[in-house]
Amino acid sequence: MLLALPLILEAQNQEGTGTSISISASATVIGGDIELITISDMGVLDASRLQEGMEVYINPIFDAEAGIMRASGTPNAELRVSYLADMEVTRREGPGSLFFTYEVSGSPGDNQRESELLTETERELRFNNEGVFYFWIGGRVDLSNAQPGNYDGEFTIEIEYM
Amino acid sequence: MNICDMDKKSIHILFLLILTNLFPASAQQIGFGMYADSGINLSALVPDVLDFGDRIGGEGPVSILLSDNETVVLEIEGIAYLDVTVNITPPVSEYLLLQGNSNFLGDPERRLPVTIKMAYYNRGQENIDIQTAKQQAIEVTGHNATFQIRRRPGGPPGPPPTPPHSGYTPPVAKAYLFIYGDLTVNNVNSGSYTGIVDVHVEYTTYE
Repeated sequence: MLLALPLILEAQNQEGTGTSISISASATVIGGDIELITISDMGVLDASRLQEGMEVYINPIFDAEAGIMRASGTPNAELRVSYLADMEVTRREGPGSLFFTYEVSGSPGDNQRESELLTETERELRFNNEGVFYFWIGGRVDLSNAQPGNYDGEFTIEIEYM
Repeated sequence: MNICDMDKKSIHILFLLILTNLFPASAQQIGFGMYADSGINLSALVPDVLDFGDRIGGEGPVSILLSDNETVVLEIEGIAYLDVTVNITPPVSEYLLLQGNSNFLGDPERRLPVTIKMAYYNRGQENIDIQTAKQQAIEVTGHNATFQIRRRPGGPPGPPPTPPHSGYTPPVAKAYLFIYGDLTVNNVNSGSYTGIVDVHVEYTTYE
């Protein structure tokens, strides 16, 4: 027993020897949900401003009537956007429809005048450093054969990560 | 056999038992590492981050294999004939957390399960390229391993090494440690997920 005691003390003195290093493990998830919300609808159906037979055009970059949408996703991630430019809108009160041709502009900042017209059906864009991207929705509709009434339509936009 | 002979035999056995208790078997193992006063150098080579890269939410399990370029490489330099014990501590609860924020530890939408693995190469070949070292590496089950910095060649053990003393420089060798693993990418929130892996290396003392 007298021989064993010094060995035990020696081992305790060696505790904490050696060396350590820390390494980081990481991953970036870019394919999580993209949230798309409508901030304001397009104002094309404001009846007081419409007349039968006219063509209505809402410029997505300059007109206040443009609809606004905001996409939220991964900061600085590239995204691909596509949308259906031609859409039939139907008359609520009965028979009748119109064809609406959408125009869309986009920007990573909340500044309509600085947005860029997305003329191609598929574009490569990028979220800003807060993971946000804005869209302004305008377009053109010919009312020359339109019947009086209210028209409802949809706008289909597809956003995905690159 | 008479009664007197039987008594003598019993006394003999009792003595043997007492002797065995006084000299436990562990006394035969010598922990040379206890007397090592030279340090161990542990350094990270490239890459020094276990980066699973850009992942798609919900894509499921992904792996960095030992042979992959993304495997982290650590270099251990120390006294060639000594054993080292390596312990790795994976990220807390084995999760990578969104923005490394520990508040998300209980949130399945802000954490990614991760399994950290390791392998080592200790054949002692100087200037071996890393890919070859990976091919010859030994994969470890669990999070700790003990091995000689330079593995002893085949055959019986040689004589005990020269103890460290004044004027004597023990031979130094390098071993390599490889850190890799598996990640499960569930349907989680987008963003950067991180965790810390601690690696500790020390000479084995066998005490």
